[in-house]
Amino acid sequence: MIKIYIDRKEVTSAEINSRQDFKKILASLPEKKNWKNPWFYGAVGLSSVIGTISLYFLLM
Amino acid sequence: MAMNMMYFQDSLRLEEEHQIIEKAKLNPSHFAPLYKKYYESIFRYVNKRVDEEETAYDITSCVFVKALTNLSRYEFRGVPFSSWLFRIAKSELYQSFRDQKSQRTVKIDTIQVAQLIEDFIEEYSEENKAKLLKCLPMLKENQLQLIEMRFFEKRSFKEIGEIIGLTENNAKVKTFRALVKLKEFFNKSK
Repeated sequence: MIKIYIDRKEVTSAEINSRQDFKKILASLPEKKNWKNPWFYGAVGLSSVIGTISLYFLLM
Repeated sequence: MAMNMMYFQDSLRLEEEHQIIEKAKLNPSHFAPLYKKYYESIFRYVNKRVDEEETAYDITSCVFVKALTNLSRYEFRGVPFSSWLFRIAKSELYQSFRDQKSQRTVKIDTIQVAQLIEDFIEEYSEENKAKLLKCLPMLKENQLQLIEMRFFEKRSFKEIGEIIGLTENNAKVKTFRALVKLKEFFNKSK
């Protein structure tokens, strides 16, 4: 059911803008998951290769 | 018809917005100017469609959280960023109706009703006003939102199209059909 209001008092701009809270918006953002970032895979891959090579030479 | 001026911006301003968005993709705190710029218009859009003001504030916050969360997917297409925000607002609103957290509401004033009645080439009277208010809820949701955006919020067909995902021409045709339907209900109504 749709409600219809006619000539309802409008909220003033001052009232609306006083409710702005950008810090709260930033705080509500979900934490960034590193594993979703392609750079993460690059960094992990590179360290694995370096680790494997280092281990190979160490054991030689 | 007076238009929503927030939508019409010169290319310099659009480019400024684009730069802010690109910076905000790397660091969300750069988004602050866009939050400040569009907070009021998003709140007003939401508040006209829900019964409780507090719910409108909550939904407005959700719109910005969602926009920032998905900002990496946003592609600049030379149109104001507000269109993307209104699209998110529309989807948050319908989610809230589905979850029964708020009730679908239409908030209008007598002047807007009078203008719409004049578009029907009818004379404004208390009787016609009552008839129109009775007919608005008879429209399908997609027709009602077209009437709201075009006649109550004075949006251009281009902006309407961007918000609901239609071409400008298609938005024009569908709005015209919605108006015809409303007129049909109006003429049948006693």
